[in-house]
Amino acid sequence: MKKLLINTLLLSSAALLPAIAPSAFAAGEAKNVIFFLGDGMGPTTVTAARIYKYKEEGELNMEKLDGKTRTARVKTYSNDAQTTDSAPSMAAYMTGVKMNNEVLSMSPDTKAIKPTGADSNCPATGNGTPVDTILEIAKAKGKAVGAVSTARITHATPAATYSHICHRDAENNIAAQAIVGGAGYNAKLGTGLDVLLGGGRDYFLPTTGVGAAKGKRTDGRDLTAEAVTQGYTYVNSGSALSAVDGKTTNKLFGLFNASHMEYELDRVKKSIDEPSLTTMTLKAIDVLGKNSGGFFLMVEGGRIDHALHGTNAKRVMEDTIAFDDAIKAALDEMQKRDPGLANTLIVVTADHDHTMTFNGYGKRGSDVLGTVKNYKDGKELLDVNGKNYTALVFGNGPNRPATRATLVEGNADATQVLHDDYLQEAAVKVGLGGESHGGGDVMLFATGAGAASKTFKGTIDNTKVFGLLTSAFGF
Amino acid sequence: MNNYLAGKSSFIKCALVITTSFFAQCVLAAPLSAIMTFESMTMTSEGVKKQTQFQEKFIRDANVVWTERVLTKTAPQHSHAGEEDHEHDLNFATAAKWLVKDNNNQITFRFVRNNEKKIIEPRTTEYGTLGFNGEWETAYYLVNRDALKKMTVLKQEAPKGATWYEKKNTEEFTRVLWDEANQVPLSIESGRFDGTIDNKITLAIAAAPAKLPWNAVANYQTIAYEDLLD
Repeated sequence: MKKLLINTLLLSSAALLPAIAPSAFAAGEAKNVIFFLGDGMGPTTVTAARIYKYKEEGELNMEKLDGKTRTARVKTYSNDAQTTDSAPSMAAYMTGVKMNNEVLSMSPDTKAIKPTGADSNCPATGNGTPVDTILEIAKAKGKAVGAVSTARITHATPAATYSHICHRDAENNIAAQAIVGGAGYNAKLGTGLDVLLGGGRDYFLPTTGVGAAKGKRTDGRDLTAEAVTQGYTYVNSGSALSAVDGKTTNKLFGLFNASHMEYELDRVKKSIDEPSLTTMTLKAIDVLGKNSGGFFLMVEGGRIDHALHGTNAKRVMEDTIAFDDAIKAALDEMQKRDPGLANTLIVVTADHDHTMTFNGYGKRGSDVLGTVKNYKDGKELLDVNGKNYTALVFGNGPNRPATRATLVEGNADATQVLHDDYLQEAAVKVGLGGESHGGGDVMLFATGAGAASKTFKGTIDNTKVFGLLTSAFGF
Repeated sequence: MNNYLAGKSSFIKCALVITTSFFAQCVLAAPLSAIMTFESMTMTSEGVKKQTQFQEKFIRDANVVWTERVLTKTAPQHSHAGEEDHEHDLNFATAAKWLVKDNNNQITFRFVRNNEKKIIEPRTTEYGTLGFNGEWETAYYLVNRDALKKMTVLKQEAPKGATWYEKKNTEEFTRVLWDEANQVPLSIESGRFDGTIDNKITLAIAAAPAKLPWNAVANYQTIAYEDLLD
C-alpha cells in the first residue's frame, strides 16, 4: 500500500517537470571549442620544451590540461606531399578535406597557382571549389568566432580558418576575405569574424599609404578603416589591446606588426609593445564568451615554426612556452566560466613536425640547450674526431661546418651553445632559414566536454579531426 | 661577421682634417679595400688533416662596411636546375653583407644579391641569427682595438707601420699583425700549440674599385628576409 502511494507521488511530481531538459547542452556536447595550434610543434619540440621549463619529470600545461587529457597521434601528409606545409595541414583540421600543398580550404583538385606578389592569380572558376571550415559552420550555427596568431593573421594557419584560395601567398586577397562589406569578402563569415588578432598589417593597408599607413595592398584600400566603419574596435599595439574592455566589445580587430609579430624572446627582452599570446587569448575569450550560443576560437603559436626553420632552438623553446602559457591561461579562465570544462572542448595540436631531434645519452637534469654529458660520469660525449656536441640538432640546416669545432656551453657570443642566437648543427646543409618541415606524426591533446574529448585517440589522419570537432559541437 | 677579442670600443687614432666649419674632425683615409683570405686547418684524433680556404672582398668607408665572397672562375657554377625557389633563396653564403651606421649609431644590416639585383632586409631582432652581432667595432676594424692594445707587443720583424701583438696561454695563442695607419689587421691567427687547430685570416690591401659597391644598388628591389621563409 505504502509503495503505491510513493509511486503515485513520484509520478505526479514528474508531471511537474519542464518538457525540455534544463541544460541546453547534453553532456559531452561542447558549447565552446578552443583549438590551439603550435605551428611546427612536433614531438621533439614538445619534449624539449617540457625539459627546458619543467624538467624531465615535469609537464607542460598542454600535456596535463585539466588532468583528464586524451592524446592522439596525427598523420599530417597532404594530397600531393609526403611532408606537408601549413596550408593543407591546417585546412585538413578545419575542413576534413585533404588538399595540395599551398592550397587553403579548397577541394582536392585545386592546383596551387603562384600569385603576383601578394595578389592572387587564382581563376574565379575551373580550379576547385571552396570547402566549408568549422569556423564558418560554427558562425552559421550562432557561435561567436575568432582567430588569433603571433604570425601574420593572413598567413596559412589562421587563413585556413576563414578564407578559401588556391595559394597561401595571396595574402592581400586573404585579408579582403575577412573584411565585412568589402569586395572579396567571404560571405560564409556571415556578420563577420568576431575576433581577429595577430600580425600582418601590411596586407590590410595600401601601397599608396604614407608612413605607418603604408602597406602592400595594390587596390588602394585601407581594410583597417573599413573594419572600423563596420563596427570593429581596431588596435595596433600591445598597450592599446590591454586598454580594450573585452567584456563590452563585440567585434575586435588587432594587427600588431606590419608582418609577423616578434618572437617572445625578443618581445620581452626589448620591451616591444606587442601583446603576448596569453593577452590576446584572454581578450578573445572575453569578447567571444559573451555570446550565449558559445564560441569557436583558434589560437596559434605561429612562430615556433619560424624559429625551427631558423634552427634556433632557444627561440623555439621560448615561443613554445609562451604558447603553453596561453593554454594555461585559457584553461584557468574557462574553468571559472565553465567549471570542470563540462561544455568546453580544448584541443592542442600541431600542423606538422620539423627536423629537430634529440641526441643521447645525456645526464638527467642537463640543460636541454647544452652539450650532451654522459649520464654515468658527467663528461661530455665526443664525436669520432673528439669534438663535443649538443643534445638538440637538426636533420637539415645551415650550420654544418666543414670541420667541427669544440663547442662552449656558454652565452658570450653566438658561437656558444646557450646564446640566444646560436644555431644548432645540422646533418644536411641547406641555406639560412631553410630548415624543412618534418614528415613525422604529431601529438594531439584534448580535454573537456566529457565524452567529446575522449574521441581523440589513437593514430588518426589529420582530416579526421574536423569530424571530431563538429561532433563535439553537436553539428 | 668576424668578431675577435670582443670587448669595449676605444678612441680612433687618425689624421686630423679641418672642415669648412673649422671643426677638427677625425677622418680615416677612406675608402679601404682589401682581399681577406680565410684559412683553417684541423688535425683530427683519427690522424686526418682537414683544410679549408676561401676569400672575401672587404671594402669600408666612413660609416659603411661591405664584405662579399670571392668566387673564382674555377668554382663550380651555382646550379638552378630542379631547385625549388625556397631552397635557392635562402643561401646567403655568396651574398654581400652590407652594414651601414647612421648618425645615431644605429646599424642596418642587409644582404645584397647582385646577380638578382635584390637587397634582403632582416629585422633587427634577426641580425644575431643571420651572422651580425650588432658590434660596429669588430665589423669595421675586424678586431676590438681596446682588447688588442692589451695584448703583448712582439719584438718580431713586421712590415713598416705594422706591429705584431700576441696573447697566449700554455695551450692556445692568438697573434695579430696590426696596420696602425690603415687601422686594420693584416693578419689574425689563432690556434693550438699542439697543432690540432689553426685558423688564419690575412688581409691584402688593394685599390678601391672606381664605383663603390653600395653605390650601385640604387635600383635594386628590397625584400624582407622573412618573406623568403615558409
